[in-house]
Amino acid sequence: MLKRLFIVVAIFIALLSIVLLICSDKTLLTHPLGIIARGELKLMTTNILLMLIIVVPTYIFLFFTAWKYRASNPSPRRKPPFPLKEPILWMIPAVIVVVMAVITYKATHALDPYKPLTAEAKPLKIQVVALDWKWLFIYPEQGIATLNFIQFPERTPVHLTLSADGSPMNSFWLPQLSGQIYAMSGMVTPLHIMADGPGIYSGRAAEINGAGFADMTFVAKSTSQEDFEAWVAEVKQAPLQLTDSAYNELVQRSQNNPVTFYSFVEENLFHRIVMKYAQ
Amino acid sequence: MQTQSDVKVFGFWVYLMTDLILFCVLFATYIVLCNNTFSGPSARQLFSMQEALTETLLLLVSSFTCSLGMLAVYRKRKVPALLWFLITFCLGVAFLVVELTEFSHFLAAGAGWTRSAFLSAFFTLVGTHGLHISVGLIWMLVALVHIGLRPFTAPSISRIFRMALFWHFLDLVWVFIFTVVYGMGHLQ
Amino acid sequence: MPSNNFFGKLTSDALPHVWYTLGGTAFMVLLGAMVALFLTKTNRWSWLWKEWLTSTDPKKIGTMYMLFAALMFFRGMLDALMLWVQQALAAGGQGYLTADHFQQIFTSHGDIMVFFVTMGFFFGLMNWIVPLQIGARDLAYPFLNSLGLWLTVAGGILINLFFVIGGEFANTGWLAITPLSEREFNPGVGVDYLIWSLQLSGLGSLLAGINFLVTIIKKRAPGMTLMRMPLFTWTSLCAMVLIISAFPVLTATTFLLWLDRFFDMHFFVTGFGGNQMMYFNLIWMWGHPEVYILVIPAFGMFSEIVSTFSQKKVAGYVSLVCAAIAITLLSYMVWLHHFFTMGAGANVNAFFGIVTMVIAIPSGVQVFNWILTMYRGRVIFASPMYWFMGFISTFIVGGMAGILLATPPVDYQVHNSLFLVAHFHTMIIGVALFGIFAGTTYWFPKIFGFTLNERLGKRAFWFWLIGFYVSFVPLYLLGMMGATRRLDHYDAATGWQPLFITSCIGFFFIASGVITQIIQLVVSIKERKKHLDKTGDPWNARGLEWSTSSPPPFYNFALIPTVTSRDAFWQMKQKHSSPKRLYKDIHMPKNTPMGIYIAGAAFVFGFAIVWQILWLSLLAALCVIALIIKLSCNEETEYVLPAAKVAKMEKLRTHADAK
Repeated sequence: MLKRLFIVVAIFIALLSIVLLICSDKTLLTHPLGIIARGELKLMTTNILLMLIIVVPTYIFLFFTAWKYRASNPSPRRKPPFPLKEPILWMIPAVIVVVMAVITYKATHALDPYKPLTAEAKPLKIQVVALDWKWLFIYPEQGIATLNFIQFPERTPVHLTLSADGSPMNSFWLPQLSGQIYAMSGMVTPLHIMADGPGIYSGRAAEINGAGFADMTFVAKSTSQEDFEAWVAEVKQAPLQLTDSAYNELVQRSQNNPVTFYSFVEENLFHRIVMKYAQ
Repeated sequence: MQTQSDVKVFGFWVYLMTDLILFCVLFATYIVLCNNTFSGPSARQLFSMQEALTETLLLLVSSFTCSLGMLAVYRKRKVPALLWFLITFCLGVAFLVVELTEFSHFLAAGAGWTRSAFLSAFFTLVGTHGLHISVGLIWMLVALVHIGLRPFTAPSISRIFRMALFWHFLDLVWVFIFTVVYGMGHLQ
Repeated sequence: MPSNNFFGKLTSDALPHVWYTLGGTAFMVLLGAMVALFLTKTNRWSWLWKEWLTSTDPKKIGTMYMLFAALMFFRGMLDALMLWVQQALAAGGQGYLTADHFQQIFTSHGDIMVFFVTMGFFFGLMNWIVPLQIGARDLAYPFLNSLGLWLTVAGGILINLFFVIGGEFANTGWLAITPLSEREFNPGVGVDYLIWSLQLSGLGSLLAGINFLVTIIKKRAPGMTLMRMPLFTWTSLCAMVLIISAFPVLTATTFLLWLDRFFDMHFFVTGFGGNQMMYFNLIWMWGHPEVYILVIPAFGMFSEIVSTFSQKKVAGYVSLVCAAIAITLLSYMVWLHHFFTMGAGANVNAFFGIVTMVIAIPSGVQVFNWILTMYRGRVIFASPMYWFMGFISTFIVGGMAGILLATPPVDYQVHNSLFLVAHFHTMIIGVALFGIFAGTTYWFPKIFGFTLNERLGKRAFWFWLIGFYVSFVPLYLLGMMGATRRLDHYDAATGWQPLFITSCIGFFFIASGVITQIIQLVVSIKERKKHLDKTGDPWNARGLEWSTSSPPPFYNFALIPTVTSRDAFWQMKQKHSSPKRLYKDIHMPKNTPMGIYIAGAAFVFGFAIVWQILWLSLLAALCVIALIIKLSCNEETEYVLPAAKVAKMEKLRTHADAK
């Protein structure tokens, strides 16, 4: 009796902890702060609920059947089983899958990294280069660059174009704003994100790329439009410049690079980085 | 009732299908990479349709002589069998000679497998086929020795049949190589 | 280009000189010494050679596969422990492992568990049970069976060899993704060890796949049509179809990677026109069927177990067969879901996501049919049924996580996070491993002649079940918290550490489960006289394998039975049929050392090519060719067991059973 009570209490505590954890704000996926991440969470919960429609009755049926028809139970009717039409069994999961498929098709288009976001504000372009083992961010329209840090205005579509240099396959992940996209040398991938409001977000590399993988993190910050412009002006006063030679040094392997600002970026740097690998 | 020889032949067909899948991977890789010349020589510039046609003819004729050899084996006639398989062997060796000459020309022209992804894919696809042909030739030699020194029994005939199947399979793969690699390369 | 030295890249640096290579080497040397000592003292070297190493008997080969898989399992578990402890400790610090070492550990953990443990156990059980279930005496190609086993063992030795020579293994993840596995980022021998151990064991698996496929298609007893086959044989057939079509892709793809590394080719490198994404497509074209190879046989095992212990024929046999075939076919069409985040575009991603979701339909149908088998049955909850209940409830959880991963926008978030790691471990542990435990317990009396201790089996189950959930539910949560996989350390501010510690505690439950299983084995062996299986049919089951004695004679069946329906043995029991004992001569394959010789030469080739010792690799390759040629010259591969001898042996055996 005591043993059973202990088991029930243990399971209750476990379930409670899980619920609390999911609600805690350390659980980045359940606390989206950008439009794309919100869409992705909504899709996840929709699909979970749809699946639970079948899964909960299945669990009930499973445990009920196992308990009722255990050999030590002499009482239940044991007539030969009624013939259940097998096609019906196939229809039950098929219906849910069809519904999920339709939802998934629509959502995959709506949340496509290639799809530009529209808002009142003019989109901001940032070019991202994955290096070993740090992230370089180039602002082509502002003529500045940063290392392991990006800042952008809230409620403004940010159009990221990503590539890599001297680094194997990388994945760019800013979970509170959106899902990942790979950054690969010689190739360009897009990602469109938009923050709901001001905030500080952590991002990291999500595809293993060597010894410095775990340290390849960055910070993203969204602020008001005025604060953003002030920040750009500040960066333009920074002592360091991203000349070609400075860039070539940067490509060399290093870990734990501190946040760095560059007041000047060499012309067409991103384009040249990508074309380095082309024929 | 299935004899053990039937079972062995069936299993050999299954193996040939797996080998075909291996070649499919090499073909797919070639098709994806065939335009990635990295400013190096392209298919159009390198390939000689004459050489390719010669190689094709050599293999096609060798398939024919291989079949004639197989017919002789079924009729349990040693001398014709030896003769036809020997000719097949020589045609196979000639094929390899033409292919290796082609490779050495490419290498001399700086178009080796390290030049570009296209050339890596070319050498690997055609080279893997050449490696299979070499294995087939070794097998043919062993078969020739067996035909010469031992009597024909059901298991030995089945073994020679499998060798012939392998040879015909390689010919079939070559037809695809000729089309996809040399044919399409010429049309680029 | 390859090295020019006489010893290739091999120098004295390659000998062990760090704590883990010294430890690993010492352990293997000690283990080998203990075995050698035992064999010498009991004078069993020639027994080992004659009875086991050169055997072509699938029962012996099956036992050797399972022993080998169990050994590799301990190595894989040790790797897992090291990973768990590192992640539990490394909040804000370095932990006790360097990043590179940590990365090598999870790479080898993955490769060992997939290629050697899971596939090893399944090939072992299939070798034992499939011929018995279809009324055959042996596989279609007994020699190839032996060769397949020894090639797998050769691969297993090669994957562990770095402890002794080389000191480094690949740090790229179990699939050696490019361009990280190219020489530019990984110039050492680690990736080459991975490539060649996979090539050797992959070839072994391919040969076994061809062997079982032909056996199931061509060697069934008369009257056993495809729709009368037991479900374990059906799912084995589906898995073999997957093996023969997928493994050539693995061979070709890892071969191309090796060509990049050895010959300076440019398939998957950055630059020179190489295409790193192509590797992902090719390797997952193999990789996805592979993961279904790991789970489909378990489905068949559980179908049989639930039917036997519910004392009812399985519900929806036709649906279950169709479901297995559907899953097999669909598994070819979903590979891209492993890299939705590579930027293929919405239409491509949606297509692959939806096709992946469709796999849920046959999976769901299977679950319903298993529950319906229990429904209105008389269910005996012996320990295989505990594993069944654990499996089915866990399979549903893993399936739900799989559907979420199959939804591209959701995958954009959880791809490569611990959510993914939790999902595939749910499937591999909850389905494949639980299946192996259930199947081994179920068929143990057939294989060894006595049943396993039930009480300890049930206790082991509870340890495993609790351990599994305590270990992996935190990982699902960690994925939602933004925790990427394969991290050797992380910021304390992320709040991940308590979950990593909880997960590590789960490991100790699992380890208790494993220890309980070892104790169960020891106790069962000690008590075996009390639990002998005298009838050959301890569970009152339905398949032909239960019609033989436990263990069966080396020729399996003195008389090949004629089958008239599904659940062949059940029908025989109902009819109380006793066939006329007209014995015939039996042709049995002889033992042969060629399997172990060829695999040995292949091992030397693999070693030599890893270290670029060119003359040795050439020599080894020539050896392999010479051995194969010698093999082709050998006409006498069978011997005859005369009918009179069969009659005598059968008389002795049935009298012994009756006692």
